[in-house]
Amino acid sequence: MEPIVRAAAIFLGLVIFFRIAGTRTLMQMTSFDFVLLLIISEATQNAMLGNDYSLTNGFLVILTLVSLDILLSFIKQQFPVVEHWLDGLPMVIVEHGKPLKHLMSRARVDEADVLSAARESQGLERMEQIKYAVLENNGSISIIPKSS
Amino acid sequence: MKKARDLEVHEDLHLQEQFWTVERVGWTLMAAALVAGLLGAFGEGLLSRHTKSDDKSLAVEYVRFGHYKSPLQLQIQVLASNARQGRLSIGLDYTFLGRILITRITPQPVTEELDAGGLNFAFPVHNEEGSIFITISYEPQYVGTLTGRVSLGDGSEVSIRQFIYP
Repeated sequence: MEPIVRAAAIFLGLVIFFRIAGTRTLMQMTSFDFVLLLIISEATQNAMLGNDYSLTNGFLVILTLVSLDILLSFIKQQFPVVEHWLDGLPMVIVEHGKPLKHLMSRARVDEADVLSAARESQGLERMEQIKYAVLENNGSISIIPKSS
Repeated sequence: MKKARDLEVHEDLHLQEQFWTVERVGWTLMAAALVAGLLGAFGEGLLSRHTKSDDKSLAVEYVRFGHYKSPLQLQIQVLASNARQGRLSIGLDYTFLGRILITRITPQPVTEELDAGGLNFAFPVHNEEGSIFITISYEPQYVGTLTGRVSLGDGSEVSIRQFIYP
């Protein structure tokens, strides 16, 4: 019973923490984010396994995490509200070459990020060439170029 | 390769349906294992916790399912009137002792004595009324069915049976 409860508690805690931390934390990982992730995994490992290093305990923890993930996917499918709260929604941050500054600052994205995404995905050079830039709910920025 | 909708893609809906069925069966099994785990079929829990007594002076609380090299406890309750000359003696048999590592006994026994069947731990008792509780913490060093006998000096004993998962 104990490993299942531990794993469920960690799962719930991490879902909440990462949601609150914001969508950009894990997608566009800097080296510091990477180190943070490693430390988090170390901490969660101890909290989940306790001092029980048996195979059974490990499998129970994995079973719990995977099951909760499947369960959560069903819940999200059934209740879109839950999905919106947990995964977020896409948001338009550049419209016809005009950056929507107040939204961008709230989402902690700046024009450099948008231009970088524009160069990488579309080979665009300037803000005016962007029709729409959308901050997707996985934290990436998708660019729709103006048709020339 | 069969061409579907002008697209060169290896699609096989029949296989996909079969896989989805397997997936559903797998999910059901996982849910069943999870419920069993919560109830204690793989370790601590409602199904697992068990108290066995000899109906007189000795009762042992233990779990039926444990994990290899992970902490377990025997909680032994003895009537204090079983003490002789201020000493209460609790014995564990060699087979059991050979398959576990005792990490702690609370309270600490004052002596450990060997005899033919096993090891006797003696605890000082000053008041011969009421019950005495002794906790033996240990880690099984064995995978499979673990049997043990907890005995009192007067010959009454309780045998326990645990299954240790790897």
